[in-house]
Amino acid sequence: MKTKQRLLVITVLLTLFICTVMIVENTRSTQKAEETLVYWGMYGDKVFEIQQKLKQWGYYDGPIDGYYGAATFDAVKKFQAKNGLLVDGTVGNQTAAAMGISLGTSSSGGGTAPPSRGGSRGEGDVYLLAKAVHGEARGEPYLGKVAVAAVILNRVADPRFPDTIAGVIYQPGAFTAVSDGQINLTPDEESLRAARDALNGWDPTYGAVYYYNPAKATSAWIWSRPVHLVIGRHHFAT
Amino acid sequence: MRRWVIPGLLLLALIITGAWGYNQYMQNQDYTTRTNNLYQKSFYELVGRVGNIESGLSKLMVTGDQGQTIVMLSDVWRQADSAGSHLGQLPLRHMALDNTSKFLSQLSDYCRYLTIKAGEGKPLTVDEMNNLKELYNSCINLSNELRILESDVNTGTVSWQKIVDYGNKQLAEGTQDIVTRQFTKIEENSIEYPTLIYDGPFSETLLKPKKLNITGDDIDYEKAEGIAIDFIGRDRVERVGSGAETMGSIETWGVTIETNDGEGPFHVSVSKKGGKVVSVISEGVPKKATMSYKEAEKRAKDFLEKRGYRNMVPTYGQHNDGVAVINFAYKDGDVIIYPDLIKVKVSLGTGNFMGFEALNYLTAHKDRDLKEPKLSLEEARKLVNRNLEITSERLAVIPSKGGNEIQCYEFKGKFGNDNFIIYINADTGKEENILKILNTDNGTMVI
Repeated sequence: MKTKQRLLVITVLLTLFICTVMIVENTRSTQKAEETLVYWGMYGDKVFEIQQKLKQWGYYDGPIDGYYGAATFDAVKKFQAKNGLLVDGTVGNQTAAAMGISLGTSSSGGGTAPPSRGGSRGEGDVYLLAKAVHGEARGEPYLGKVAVAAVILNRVADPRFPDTIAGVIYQPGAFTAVSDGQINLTPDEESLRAARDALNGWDPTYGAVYYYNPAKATSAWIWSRPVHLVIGRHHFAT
Repeated sequence: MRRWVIPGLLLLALIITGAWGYNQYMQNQDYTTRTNNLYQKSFYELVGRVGNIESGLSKLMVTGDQGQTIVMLSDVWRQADSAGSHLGQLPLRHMALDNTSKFLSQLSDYCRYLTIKAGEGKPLTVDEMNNLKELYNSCINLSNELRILESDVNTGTVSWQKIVDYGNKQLAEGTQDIVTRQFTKIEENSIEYPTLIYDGPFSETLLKPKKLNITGDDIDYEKAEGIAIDFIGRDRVERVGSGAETMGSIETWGVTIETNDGEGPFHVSVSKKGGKVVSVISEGVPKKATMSYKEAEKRAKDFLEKRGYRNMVPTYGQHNDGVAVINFAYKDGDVIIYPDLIKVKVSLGTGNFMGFEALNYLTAHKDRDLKEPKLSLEEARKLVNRNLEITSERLAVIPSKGGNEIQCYEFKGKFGNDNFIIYINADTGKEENILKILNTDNGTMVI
């Protein structure tokens, strides 16, 4: 009897604990924002930028040397006091915003995904295409990955589909990897290579615009499309 | 006292779970509303744009002014383009949309073609006017059907969320939602459009699948295997197996070849007719680059010559992660034939061949009877913008947007720090295309 009661208490407490964690997580995740700081003792481009701005507005009269020293510290405090910000002599996101500069992530400009340039097929397109390939054809043979990327590019060139890579990939309901979020996984090296091969003009399907997995496809319509080739679990069709 | 502890805790747990559930529910509602709003916006934009196209096309029927014609045509082109991209954002199954989407793409493309033509001072022909009239009629039908749908959307009988759910569950045919039904109706009844044959990417002639321009006997798989082995190089081959066979407009045998240097396996695609290698894709992971791009280019050219492709000249190329992809164009006498394109991939680590793509060459290559151009080089040079500092010039055949071939003078030159290529039609003097050359760390690209 005693053990049963104790078990009950433990279960109830556990439930309580889990519920609390869930609520806390819920509220926290909405507020989470990373803050980058520029403060006393730092060197770099950002300090340069801050000094330039402050000098321009007359808060700072020291040298623009990219070193955050006492003079810069005082100037930042003056700027903060004038602009009704928290006076702490440290440049955080709010102070930076008031100065009209962005702190970004780091001055070295890391990050794996380069931005897409409109029109031309830059590295951003390779990355987006690789993400789609990774989400859709992980575990398929290499040739199947190139083929999936080629299908996306064939759709871009087809009047029945949107006319950009992003438009095709994010067309509602077009790809399961987009619907279930698998597209957001980081693509592996093989997917990137496959995407690049397809962008360079290799198309193992010679013009297919559909593919499906016969074990999963339930639409009668898709079965009526002429199949061009079969790679791994995917049937490629026009 | 103690017997209240457990019920108390349970009650507290119930309240917290309830609060959590309510919170989740509200959040869910919030997201649903937001996505619904996005779909709603796309739909209203689509209806608005189609309405604009309708009025634009109707005005085109009655204008007599060339300047106005250009303005209206370019407006229809822009509106149709935008309508197409909004259509692409609706959460409907592809089958319900593909004709409507094709209609908007072709309309946009056709109006673009006519805008350019009108810009050259040429009036629209009777045929083109008739095409526009037919497109206008289809557009009225489309617009009317969309308005019926709009009233359903306005009264709130359409839930985009339900449509998404239908799509996800892939319910049996027949249980369609109202929007899909309406779009299917549009697909089946409303859109009839003329067969548009003109010089643009969505012209009907170009939408037909490509065909290989190869003569010769049909070969069996065994023969294809031999051809593939010779292509890769007998000394590199370790194991051979059959690969993916393609059917449809381009029929090929697939041969998979493993090599002894770890740069494979190679997937070789050999045409069933005539036994030509159409493409080779390697799965091999490229090794660290040790040679220059120039050296790789030389090896690629050597490779092509050994495989019987003579008179090919390298045009531009790129290198990434230890491989170089080099584009070659056929040279007919002194004229560069860009449509006859072959791509060769070479490992920058070992200099070995890693990929081949000749679909363009094998579909486009033929005996061309190139005529003497009507303009001389000097006459064409005068037509180039004076700001361009010309560095090289030659005759070239380039593909037009609609897949035709145009003989042009090719002028490479500089403006400031930027490099450009300008193509002047060798017969008419028309400036056919301008390309900008991007010299990146990874090679040259043209845009």
